[in-house]
Amino acid sequence: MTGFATARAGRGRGVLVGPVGLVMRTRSVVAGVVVVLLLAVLLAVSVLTGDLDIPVGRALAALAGDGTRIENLVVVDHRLSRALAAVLVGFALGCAGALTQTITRNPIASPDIMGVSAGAGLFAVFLVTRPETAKAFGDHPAGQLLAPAAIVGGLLTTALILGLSWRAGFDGMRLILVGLGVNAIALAGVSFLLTRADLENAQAATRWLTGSLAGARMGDVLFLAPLALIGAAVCAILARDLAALRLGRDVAPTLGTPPGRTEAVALLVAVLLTSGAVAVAGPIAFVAFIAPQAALRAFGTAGPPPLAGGLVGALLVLAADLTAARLPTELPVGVPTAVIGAPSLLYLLNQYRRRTSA
Amino acid sequence: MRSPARPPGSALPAIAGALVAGTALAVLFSLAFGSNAIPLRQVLGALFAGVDSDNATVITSQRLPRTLLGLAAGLAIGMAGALMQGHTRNPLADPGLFGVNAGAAFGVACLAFGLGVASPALTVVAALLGAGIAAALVVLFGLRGVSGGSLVRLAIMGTALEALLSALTSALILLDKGTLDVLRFWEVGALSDRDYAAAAWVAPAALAGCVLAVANAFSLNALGLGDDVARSLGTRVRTSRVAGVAAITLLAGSATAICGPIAFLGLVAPHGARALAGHDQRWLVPLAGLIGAIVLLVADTLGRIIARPGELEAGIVMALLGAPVLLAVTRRRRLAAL
Repeated sequence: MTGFATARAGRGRGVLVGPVGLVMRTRSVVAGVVVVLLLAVLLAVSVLTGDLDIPVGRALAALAGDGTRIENLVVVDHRLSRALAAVLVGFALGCAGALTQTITRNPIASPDIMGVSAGAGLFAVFLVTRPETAKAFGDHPAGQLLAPAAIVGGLLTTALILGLSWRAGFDGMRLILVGLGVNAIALAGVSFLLTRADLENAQAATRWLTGSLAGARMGDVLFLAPLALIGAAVCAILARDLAALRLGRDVAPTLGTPPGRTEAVALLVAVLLTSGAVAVAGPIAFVAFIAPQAALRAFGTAGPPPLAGGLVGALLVLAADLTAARLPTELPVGVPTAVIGAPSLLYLLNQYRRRTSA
Repeated sequence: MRSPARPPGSALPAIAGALVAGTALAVLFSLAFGSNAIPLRQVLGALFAGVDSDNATVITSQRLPRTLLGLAAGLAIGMAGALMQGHTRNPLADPGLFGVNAGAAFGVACLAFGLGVASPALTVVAALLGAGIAAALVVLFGLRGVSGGSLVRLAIMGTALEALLSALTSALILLDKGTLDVLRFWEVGALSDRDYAAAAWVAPAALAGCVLAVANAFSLNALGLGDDVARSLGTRVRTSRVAGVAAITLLAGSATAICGPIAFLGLVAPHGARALAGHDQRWLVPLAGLIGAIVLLVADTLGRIIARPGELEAGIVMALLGAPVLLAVTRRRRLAAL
């Protein structure tokens, strides 16, 4: 393998593959293995069990491609795509949250409060509460137009935030404040539409705003997978620069990291990941805040870790979706996400007293 | 922010005077305008001379309680925001961070889920209870490890609790259409349909919060230098942290109970006060309160004027007015570091 090197680094072993460097500390490795194992177990549970009683052997056969039509439909199209969508959505949100928390050096600066999800939400809610506008785009059911509307809304909001905060370069703090302003407007818009809407439509919109994976299909997985891969690759390559940035905008250049460029790239990735996740599942709140903070404590890293944050996010959303699908009345995944995630974070907060959070 | 050539702080009394006058004007504005405009002489007559007329009844029975509650809520949100940002040293901190808003929303949702439609006073009580319980939980767990240190840990715990409570609120909303119908109007943030009974419930908490906040602001300057320096200057760090948390909770809780979650104001008012008055917390905290009161009252009144004969909720007007101002300010000046 070319460009592969190892070295002792502090208390761990350093590994270098091309531009990607990794310090293998026992704590992080153990935490990583545990999270990946848990993910595998939950994936297996979601694919092999469900409302319809399909024997494990038949489910595995369906996965291998020789099940009956019904078995394929249930196991591959419903269970597998929903579980994979949960993993990818969780990864995207957790990763995006860690990136924004890192570049702003602020634990509460998640994409949730920066307007991207709210902007996407505003467009989608507009479509749900004003069914007549959906008709203008041809004869589709409004449900089919939700994802495109959310993507358009997310991208427009992002363009607005980036455009308004550009002033001879980006400044993390200015970007966040502009995001907060845009977020406030978008949320006010959502409130306005909800209070003026018919109660039925308001209910449909609320359900979407909570975030749900019930409708996720293989198409969503294929749409999110490349995004998540690009995100993961960029995080791996940027890891060193992000770590340098953690020391401050003044110190980073002395370590060879251009602060403005790193922040811009990281933010762009965060925004793309968030918009993609929102388009598939709706704005599931708090994953982007909880997952990186939990990963920071579980993995014992110096700051919110993007990749580990993504893994924890994936675990959280998958576990929540499993719960959501098996409740007596099906609630959208956004409810169990917080019900599971918040106490876990509180537990970690109590276990590990740390001086830094960002 | 660099201070001008004059000695720092010399303009502060003038700024404070201007803001007090602005608040008085905003109160009169709120009393005089609504679904119909009432001449100022009649407003003053109804207030001070006890004139009896239709307009006087409108003012004393509807606009006065509404205006007083708006004044109290605005003051409370602004001061709570300034205290919150001062204690956490985090310019993104809003007074809802200790889970207060989410707790209040959960209280209102529980009430609506259990009882259906309730009176304004009952709603206020439910919101106050929810906010109090949420804040107490955060503080009980969060303060255990605080021997000093900024309140960042507490803010993270608050945000986590907020996640939990909003999820539970969502569950109630999704399970019951009636709850959704109540909550979608509560969550906008509005001052409509408030009466004296509602005001009576909130007044003690708001008042206690104000007194505590002003007292607490005196130790905040020293705390801003770091806990060790503050201690060496004779500040009792733990006591002032606890007092700060109590003040924030009382203020934010009563404000949310009055008008729903208008968190954006609590975030922005301190930034406005910092731009005007610099970093002396003794001035910053009350001035942020005055800015909050002015903005909330003007937003509420404008909402009544714009959408006659109906009204646009204060929360929506405030976002539409406040966000562009925030955007303009962040673009124009070098951001003041905290």
